[in-house]
Amino acid sequence: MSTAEPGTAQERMIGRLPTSVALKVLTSGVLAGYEPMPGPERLRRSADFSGGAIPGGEAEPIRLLCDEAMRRFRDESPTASDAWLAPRLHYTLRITRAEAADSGLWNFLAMCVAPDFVRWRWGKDTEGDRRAVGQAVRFAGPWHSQCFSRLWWAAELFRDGPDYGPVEIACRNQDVLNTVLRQELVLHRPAAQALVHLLQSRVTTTGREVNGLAKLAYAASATMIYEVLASDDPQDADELQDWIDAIGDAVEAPYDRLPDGPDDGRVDKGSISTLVEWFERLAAVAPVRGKEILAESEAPRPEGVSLAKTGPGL
Amino acid sequence: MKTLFPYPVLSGEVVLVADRLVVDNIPRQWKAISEREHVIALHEVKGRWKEIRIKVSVTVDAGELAAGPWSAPTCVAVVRNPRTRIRHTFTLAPAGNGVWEGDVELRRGEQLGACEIDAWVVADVGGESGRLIGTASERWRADFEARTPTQQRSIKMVWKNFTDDIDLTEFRDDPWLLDAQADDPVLYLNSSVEGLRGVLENATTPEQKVVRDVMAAQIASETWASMFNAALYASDMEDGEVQWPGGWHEDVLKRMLPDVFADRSPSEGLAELVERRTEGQSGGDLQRRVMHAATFQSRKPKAVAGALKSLARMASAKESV
Repeated sequence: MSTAEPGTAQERMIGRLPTSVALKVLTSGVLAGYEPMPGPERLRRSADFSGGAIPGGEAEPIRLLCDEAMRRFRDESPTASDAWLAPRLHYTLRITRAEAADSGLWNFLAMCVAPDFVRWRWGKDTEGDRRAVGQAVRFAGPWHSQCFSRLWWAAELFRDGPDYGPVEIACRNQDVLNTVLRQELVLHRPAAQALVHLLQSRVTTTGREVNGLAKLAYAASATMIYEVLASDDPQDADELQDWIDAIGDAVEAPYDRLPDGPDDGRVDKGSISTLVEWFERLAAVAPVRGKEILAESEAPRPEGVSLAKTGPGL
Repeated sequence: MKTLFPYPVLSGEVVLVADRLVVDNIPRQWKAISEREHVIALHEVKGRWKEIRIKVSVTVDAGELAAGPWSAPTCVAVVRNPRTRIRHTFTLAPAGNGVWEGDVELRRGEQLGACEIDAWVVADVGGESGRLIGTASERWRADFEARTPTQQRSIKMVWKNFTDDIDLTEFRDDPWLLDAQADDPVLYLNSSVEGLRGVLENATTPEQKVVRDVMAAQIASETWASMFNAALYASDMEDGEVQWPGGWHEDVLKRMLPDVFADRSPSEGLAELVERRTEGQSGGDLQRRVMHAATFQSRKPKAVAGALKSLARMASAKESV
C-alpha cells in the first residue's frame, strides 16, 4: 500500500482498489444515496499503485470519456451509452486480459475515478433527489456485472481485430451484455462474430431471441466442436503489445467515429459464415423465453443433430 | 454432469501427455512436469516469460479409431483459462498408430493463475463434421503459481501487522482473517499477535507442536468454511438452471459439495443451496453441513486426535520422571 502525496504523478494514475476495501465502503446507505461515498482521496490511500497494473495508465482520459457519455446520453436512457463507451474504454485503457482479470482495477475506476458515472448509469431516481444504485456489484463485483469491466470484456470478446464495429452492435443489446457475454460460446471469436452478424441481419430481432439462440448454440457445442468446424487463427500477441505500448503516442478516442483497436488479426470470413449458417439453422428452432416453446416432437431440428441428451455416455 | 452423445464415440482411453516445456525458446527441465499429477508447475518462470510452448501428445486405441463408424478423425489440444476467458485450440498432427502430436502455446498477457489443457478428438459422424468423439481421460493443469507440480492447491498466506494496516486495524486482535472477496482468497496472519509466527513457522518443543497442529487445523477449517460461503454467494440460478461461478469459487464448491451432500451430485447440491438461500431459509442446516465438510477438508479430526495423544504422552512422561 502506498500513500498518494499531493502533487505527485500518483494522483493522476490508475491504481488497484482491493475489493474488501470497496465493499466495506459500499454500505446500503451509500448505495441508496443517503450517505456520501468517501472521497476519492480517502480511497486512494487504500489503493495499490505498485507493480503497475497499467504502466503509465492515467485516470484523466477515462474521466473525460465518462463525462462525455453523460453529456451525450443525458436525454436518453443511460443504457444507450454502453455501445458508445465500450469500444472507447477498451481503446483508452489498453491492457492485456491478464491485467483486466484484476478486479482491483475496475473497483478503482468505479470508486476513485468516476463514481458519479456509475451512479448515473446504474442508479434510479428516488425521492428527495437521491439516486440509488441497487447493487454494490456495479461498483465492485464480478467481471460481467461491474460497470466498467463488463464493457471492457464485451469490447475484447466482440471486436474483430481492430474493428470495434461488432462491439457497438453487441452492446446495443442488453441481453448480449447481461447473458450471452457470460457464455463460453463467445470465447471462440468466429462464434461471437456470427452472433453479431445475426443480430445485425435481424434473424434474431429481440434480445430474448439471441439469448435462446446462444443457449442452443452452446448446448450443441457440447458435441459439435465449432473450433474445428470454423477455425480461428491465434491473435498476434506482439501486435497487441505494440498497440498497448503505443498508448503514450495515441490520439484520444474520437467521439463521433469509432477508434481503431489493436491490429492483432481479423476473424476468418469463411469461419464466420460457416457458423452463421449453422446458427441460422438453430435459430429456426430456437425457443424464446415467454413464447410458447414448441413441443419436443414438433420442433424441427437440423438434420443429424440431436440435442436430446440421451444415448450412451462417454 | 457428463455429456451424453447421441452418436457413437470412442470408448477407450484418450491419453494426453505433456512431454516438453519450452519457455521463450529455452527448453526447461523435466521436474516441472508431473505426469502422475497431470500438472505443469510454472512458478519459476513467473513474471519473466513471454511465451511458453508445451509439446503434447494424444494417444487413442489405434484399432478402435480405425474401426469406428466415423471418418476423418482429427485432434486438437484445448487451453482454457476462466479468469482471462481464453479458450484456444491447437491442431495436433497425426503421427500414426492413434497418436497425435503438437505444441500448445501460452502467452503472458493471456494467462493468469492456472490454465487447463484438454484434448478433443473430432471426426465426421453420420454425415455431420466437427463431432466430438473423445476427450482426454485426464486433463492437465499448467499452474503459474505452483512451485511443485501437484494438484494440491494452496491459498495465499500473508503475514501482516493488523495494527498498522488501515484496512485490518479494526480486527487488530484477531490472530488470522480470511479475505475471500479478493480475486484469489488471501489468508492474513497477524504478525502483531506475539508468538504466533514463532509457533506456526518454527515450532520446536513438543508443546509448541501440539498447539501448532491444532491451530493449523482450526485455521484451515475456518478458511474452508468461509471460502465455501463466499462461493455459494457467488452462485446463481438462471431459468431454473444453476450457474457455476467459475474460478476458485467453483473449485471450492466442487471439492466440498460431495461432503456437504453425500447423496447428491454437485450440480444438484448447489441448486438446492442457491434455492434455499434465495428463499430466505435460516441456513442452520447448511452451516452444520458446511462445518462438517470444512472439518473433513482441513483434516481436523486427525489433528485433534493426534494432539490429544501427544498431550497424554507428555503427561505420562512427566509422571514417570
